Amino acid sequence: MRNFAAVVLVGVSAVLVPLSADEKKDDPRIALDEVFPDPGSAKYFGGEITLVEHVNRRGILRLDRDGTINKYFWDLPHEFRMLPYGAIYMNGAPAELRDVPIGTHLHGEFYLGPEGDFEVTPPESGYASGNMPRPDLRSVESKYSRVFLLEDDFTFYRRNGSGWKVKEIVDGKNQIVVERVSLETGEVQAGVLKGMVGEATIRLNEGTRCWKGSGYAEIDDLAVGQVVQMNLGWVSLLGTQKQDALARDIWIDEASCQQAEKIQRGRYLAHAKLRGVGAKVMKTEHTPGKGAEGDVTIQLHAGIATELIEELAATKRIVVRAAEPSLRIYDINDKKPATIVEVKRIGNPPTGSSGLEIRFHIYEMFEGLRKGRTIRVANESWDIPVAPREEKLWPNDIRIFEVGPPYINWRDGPPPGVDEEKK
Amino acid sequence: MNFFRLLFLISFLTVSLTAEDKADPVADAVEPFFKEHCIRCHGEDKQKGDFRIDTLSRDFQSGRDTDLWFEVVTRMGAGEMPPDDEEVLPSPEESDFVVGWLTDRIREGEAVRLAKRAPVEHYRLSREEYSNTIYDLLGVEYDTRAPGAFSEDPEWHGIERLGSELSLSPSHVEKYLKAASAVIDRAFPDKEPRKLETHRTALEIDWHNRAKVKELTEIGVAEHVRTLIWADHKLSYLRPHGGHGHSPGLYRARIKVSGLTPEGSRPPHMTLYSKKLDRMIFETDVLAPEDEPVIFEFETYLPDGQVDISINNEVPGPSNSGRSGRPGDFVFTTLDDPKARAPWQRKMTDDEGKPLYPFLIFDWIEWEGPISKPEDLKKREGIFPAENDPQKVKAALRTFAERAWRRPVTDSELGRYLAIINQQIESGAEFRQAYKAGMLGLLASKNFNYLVEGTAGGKRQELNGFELASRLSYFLWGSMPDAALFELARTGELNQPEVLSAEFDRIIADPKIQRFTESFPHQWLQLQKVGMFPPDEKLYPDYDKWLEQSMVLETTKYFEQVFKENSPIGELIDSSWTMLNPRLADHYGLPAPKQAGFQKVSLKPEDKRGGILTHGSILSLTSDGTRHRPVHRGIWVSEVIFGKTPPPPPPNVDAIAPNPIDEPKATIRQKLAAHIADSSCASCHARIDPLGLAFDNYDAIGRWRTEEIVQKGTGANPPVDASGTLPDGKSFADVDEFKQLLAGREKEFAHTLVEKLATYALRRRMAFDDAAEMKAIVEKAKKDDYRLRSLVRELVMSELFLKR
Repeated sequence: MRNFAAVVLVGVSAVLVPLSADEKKDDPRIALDEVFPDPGSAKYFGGEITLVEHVNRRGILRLDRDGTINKYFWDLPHEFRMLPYGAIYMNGAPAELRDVPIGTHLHGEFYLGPEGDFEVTPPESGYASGNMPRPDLRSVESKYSRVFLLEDDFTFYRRNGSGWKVKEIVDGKNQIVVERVSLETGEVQAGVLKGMVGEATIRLNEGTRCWKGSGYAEIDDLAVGQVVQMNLGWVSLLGTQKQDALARDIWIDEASCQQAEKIQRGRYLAHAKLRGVGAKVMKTEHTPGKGAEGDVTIQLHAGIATELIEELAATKRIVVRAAEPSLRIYDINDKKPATIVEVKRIGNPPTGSSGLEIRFHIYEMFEGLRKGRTIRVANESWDIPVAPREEKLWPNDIRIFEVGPPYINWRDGPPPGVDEEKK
Repeated sequence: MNFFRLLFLISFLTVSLTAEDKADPVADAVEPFFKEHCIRCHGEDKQKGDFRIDTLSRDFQSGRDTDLWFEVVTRMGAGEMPPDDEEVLPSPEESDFVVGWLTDRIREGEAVRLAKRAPVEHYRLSREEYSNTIYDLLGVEYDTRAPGAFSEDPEWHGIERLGSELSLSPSHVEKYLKAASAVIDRAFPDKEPRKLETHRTALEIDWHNRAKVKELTEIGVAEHVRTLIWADHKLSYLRPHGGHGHSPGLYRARIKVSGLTPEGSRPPHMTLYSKKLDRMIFETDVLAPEDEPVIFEFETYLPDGQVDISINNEVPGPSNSGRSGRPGDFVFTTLDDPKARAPWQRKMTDDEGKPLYPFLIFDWIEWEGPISKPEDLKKREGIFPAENDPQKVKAALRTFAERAWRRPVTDSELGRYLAIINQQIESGAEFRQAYKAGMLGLLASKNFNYLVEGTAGGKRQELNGFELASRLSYFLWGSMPDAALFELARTGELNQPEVLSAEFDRIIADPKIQRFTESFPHQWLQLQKVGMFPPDEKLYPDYDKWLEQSMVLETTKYFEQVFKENSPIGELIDSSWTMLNPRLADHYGLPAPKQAGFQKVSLKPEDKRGGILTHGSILSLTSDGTRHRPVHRGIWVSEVIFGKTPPPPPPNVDAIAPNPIDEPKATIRQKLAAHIADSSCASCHARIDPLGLAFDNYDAIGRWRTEEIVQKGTGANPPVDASGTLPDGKSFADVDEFKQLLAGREKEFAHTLVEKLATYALRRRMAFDDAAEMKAIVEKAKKDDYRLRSLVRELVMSELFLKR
């Protein structure tokens, strides 16, 4: 029987029906919301974030000019969506997309979406570009739209055991020359590594913030020989990262790094406890004759702070809510209490899983408690009094807007309502 | 064993009404008791309390001193008499025997008085018989149980058709007139009824989605919309013609639905109910996969005007008033697409797509009517002349009168009704109305409402042909004789044994025999009492009306099956099969039948069922809605199986109190043992209680258990002990062994069954005079292993049946 979107959501625009888990192709590069993806099949991209739609966990990157993309197709918008189990880190701590300032340079692991592999016809270059009728103005790598991991420079390089050794301060303290070194040994790191490798000249300006200990520092506190961490911006404006990147923040010492991480962690924890954390439903078992009552097995997503994982592992009563793959909930009142029956730690967990598996008993499962679906889990003690209106999907999704092309005077004529003669 | 004990055993082991009882050798044994223990204070010399026994009438049939004898029974039963300060006190067995003997005499006297027949005896039709007769006479369904229709018939030990019980009050007359008028108007309406044919879709009956018809049609979904009816939920607007009245009459409906049964649960139960009519229009379990809906067809009578009809899924289910029960703006088309349901909604299918609740899915309902069935129209032929031709009028009215009164009608009798017609015409009425007035008179007459037997001024014992025809048809069809029976009555052949035998065969082959197989067990087994004490909702949350109905249906259908197969009556006591529907299978914890409706299923010993004694109906009607009542179960077995009603309990006996909160939990049996520690109670209880304690493994709604759940008290729930010893010394360990003991007493059971059948058929209590003939019936039936149908045949062929 043809599926008519058998239950029709009246008044809401079209619902995208992705490939189901069963329909997933053999292509390991594809990541679906319903299943944890194949490990090691993601593709690395770096880029600067130019639009954040934190409510739906999506945004746009301007990918690095790192040589993988033909220079004629540089800088086109790369739209992405976080996978439900996709993790975001800032300053070395778990983060939400809202914590990422526009212009931050990020590193990400990308999968193909349910659409699979497809080609983007790049616009004509040079003179022909002006005559092209409908240029496809998006990144030629747009097919890699599902993000499994997103992290800032600070997190990325520290996670890889790297720092930046200040080799020279030049141009009246407007530039520093740095080189990627091992945090452990201080040795120069070279070879095939993700991210920037070798020596780079980083620009500084009046907006560059330096951090030392638990507070601000001055540019003067920078000194040759220090191993610092940086968050960059402007990485592709004038050429390549190595030549032109701008340091937005520089952490001069370890104490300042830890302070930054601590603040971000605190921000994240507060946020997570007001919303619950994401988990994937692995299995449901119904008690015969008891309707929707039964046991549910979930795995908490990767990227959740360890404190929260341990707290949930130790508690007895939790609260679960239906969520979309974007982790958006419908309503705060959807919560259902559940009792934890079993907690298991999985060695070598699947990509996207935290490795903590919880089996809970619930007196009434909701539709969102199905294998592969995403839920939000909270400890019963976490107080979740209210959710921001735009984050809820009930009674309507008010996050429906199209940014669309802006009004351009020379192109679009006078704005609507303006008298042509007065122009 | 002393003499009293011996007498007591004789009394117990003998059926209540035997010819030997009449001679009553026992009476002599009672007088010495009175002399030794009573007369000194209540005799010629002394009359303590102004009461003397020696002058009380020993003629119990006269009923002269029944009240005073009853006082004696009560005082002795309570242990008040003889008083404790008497020098010589009787043993408990002696007192018990005398109480039992007096009780039997009082009851027998009552039976004789009730069985007495005047030269002409009138037996009023029960309301069930009235409905059946009206339908068979005119093809009109008249619901005598509808609100405001006939009053409930009084019953005597379950039997609802005893002439002595069915009296007539002024309110009856008024209701008979009203009923007769309505029936005639329905059979012969003054104007042609407005026919209608309607088709109501899922969208139309669902108020929530009705407003979206246009929108859903535009996007091509409307035709795929079905209406999901959750367990314990309903939808209205199933009536034939929304908003407008319709003509009264018989309507035919077709309804298309699917019914999904979850694992470990019962199937959806669809009911179509009218609150205004206070009547179930149609109900059934529905077992049909989502993509294989079924169509049910039924007919129902609908009165003039508007009615409300709702469709209900009457199985327990969660409330949908909370957020998790509301689907928001979602419209249902299939269960097969969980992603198209609101994620916060209560989960409806498991991850493999199987339903989690008993869902009823409605597609449409069609109504057509009023309909006239050819067989019903035929019944109205020849009784309503088209024009006022005196000859034709007289002939038609005679035909109607003879059928309605079930006998030939004299000219003078008919003349009274012809006169009514003529008077009406003379006073300006149209012929049609005038003729109806005549019919109304005939139908409101006692000759219609009563079965009349006998001849005024005569002492006729034998039934005439027409009386026999009516006795036969009301016994087995619960209704008037048909044309063939009338013809045999007219020719006088019906009283011939071979003709009667052939007619018996013809009658039981007719579908109308179902009225007997349903009504007789209902009355004999006192199934009216099922649900009389509604089980406590907290203790028995699974109990519902459909279960209650299913319980009763199990028993009546079981009886029908035994009758159809002509099985020995022992099958009623114990068997390896029963009749189950999915609801009852769920209740008994047995595998669910694959189809809706009742079906014969085999039982294994571990199923702990078999025979009517383990039917939920019987086990429920002998409970009080909170807990099982072993004493009542014992009395029921004694009455229904052995035909013996034990003496009533003394007045002011306290009921068994609930278990105290600070004492160890005790079974009813244990509490009963403490309760009847008094020797004056113990001897009587020893006779009754084992018959009920044997069923202690079944709770108040008939579920098997091995431990008795005691609500309050300390410690664990106590285990059930269903063992016992009968007065004859035979012991049993459990219900199976008890049933085996009963099986050995088939003859006693046959006596009881014959007595009940005869009471039902002859509409009077059986008395001494009837004992020999009943015994003869039992003897004849014995040759055929006491097969049920044979037993009924022997009754019909007996002298007893042919006599008034």
